[in-house]
Amino acid sequence: MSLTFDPITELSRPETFEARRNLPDVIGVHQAKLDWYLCQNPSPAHCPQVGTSTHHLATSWRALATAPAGEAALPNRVYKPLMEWTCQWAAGQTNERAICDAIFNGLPSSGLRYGVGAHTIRDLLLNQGGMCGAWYQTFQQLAQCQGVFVYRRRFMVDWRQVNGEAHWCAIVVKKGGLNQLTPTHAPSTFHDHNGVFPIPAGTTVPITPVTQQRYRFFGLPGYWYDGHCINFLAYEGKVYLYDACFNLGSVVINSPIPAIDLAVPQGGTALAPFRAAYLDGAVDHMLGSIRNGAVLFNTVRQFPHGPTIQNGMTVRTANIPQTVAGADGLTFRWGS
Amino acid sequence: MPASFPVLKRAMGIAEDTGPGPSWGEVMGELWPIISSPLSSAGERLLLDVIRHKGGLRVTNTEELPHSLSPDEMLKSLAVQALARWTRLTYLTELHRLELTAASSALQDVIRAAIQTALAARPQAIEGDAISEEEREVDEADEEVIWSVSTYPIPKPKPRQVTRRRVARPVERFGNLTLISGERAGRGRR
Repeated sequence: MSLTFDPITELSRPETFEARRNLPDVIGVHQAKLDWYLCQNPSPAHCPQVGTSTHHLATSWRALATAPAGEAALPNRVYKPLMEWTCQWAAGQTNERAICDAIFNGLPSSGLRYGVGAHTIRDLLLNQGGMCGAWYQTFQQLAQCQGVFVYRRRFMVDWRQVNGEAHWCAIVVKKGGLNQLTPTHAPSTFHDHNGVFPIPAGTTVPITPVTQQRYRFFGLPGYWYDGHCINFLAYEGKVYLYDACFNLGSVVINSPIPAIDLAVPQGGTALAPFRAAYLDGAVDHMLGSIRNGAVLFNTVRQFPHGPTIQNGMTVRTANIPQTVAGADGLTFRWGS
Repeated sequence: MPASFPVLKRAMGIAEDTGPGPSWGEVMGELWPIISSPLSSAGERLLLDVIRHKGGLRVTNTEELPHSLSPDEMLKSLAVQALARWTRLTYLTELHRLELTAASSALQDVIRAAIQTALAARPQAIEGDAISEEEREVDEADEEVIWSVSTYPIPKPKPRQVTRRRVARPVERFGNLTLISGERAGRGRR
């Protein structure tokens, strides 16, 4: 390969480099060296060597993934750091699940964090972290780099009224999330109930207030509002869940990937496999307005006066039965 | 509730105040009274401004930010739902336009679902050789709205004795033409 440099701009024309041998047919990052010689025109008998440049060549598994029908289309471009990371983390892997697992396991080494106020892949990279809305896009694009399609799903808090109580107002998580020791939310006072739910009528249970930093993912009564975002992989007849934000990956869910349907909440038996495999462990508590004897632990969002929030009762998620007062105990609305 | 909506306009960058943006809590503090009851004309105009707004929302980066959507997308999402809830399909074209231009699939989901819900709530036409329509004797915004999501604890507007009258028009056919009588058959007993 000879390059001729323009004397004014000192640039050559763009050239395509072709290797004599095929690139390795495997995911990986490969070192390449180029030796450079300087020749004047007309060319002398000997061209002195002026240096060696080293290059990283990243080889991916397959062409960029495309979305199946009914799912949001993927961009036909990727961010360079994501491609480099996935080629490094998933080096040598040869199937969709192994690739996703390797990417998931590599995430902590990226230094990127959860709980940072960014909602797109670009902002996540610029801010070194993001919220779940950015993370499920980022994990999807990380897999896309290797030609693997993962689904994006958002499960939204379904704020309902059940017998004068609110089931439920927010998802509550105590873990800090990816590369965060503690949640980034300011402390607030919670009223945890870790015992049997629902609380039997006419009885009271001891509730100890605890002031702690926790994430709250709120719903909004009568509206489709906020929730948490995760990814699913369908591979060899099984469904795997990846929650990049809270370090939960390759979780087998014994049910189909949730259909996108905001209008119809999902709960009860339809939600049971998702709860058993993931939610009951990942989400510590659900925040609601719950009665304890004669006292209503009321969740209040005082919007007209600003952000003041009063937490009602936080019930351990795993203790919420499939059915409460004849209705589904826990329901969510699924979007993409 | 101030009709000028200074917080939302500051967040959208359409107010004269060029200082730092409000917090998300302040934005919701001004938005919630607008969307939690039948829309005033000023509130309706504001929500249209929201869904037409291009560019991000200027809000201070605090912990109250939504998790799953950006503040701009969340504001649009709520505006879309409120417009569909309280005005049904009045702004269908605007909603479709936003659906086509939205970068976020999550926001597109909300728009599609809001339109579908409003369509489902639309009165059904009577099948057969008569075309029926409903005469409305009250302003649409005053009606109780059929909505498939929980309305708790949004106070449902008290319906002001909404009376609907079915009006049937006779249909005549001539070849491929269907003619509808210009005279309203429902005015008298048929």
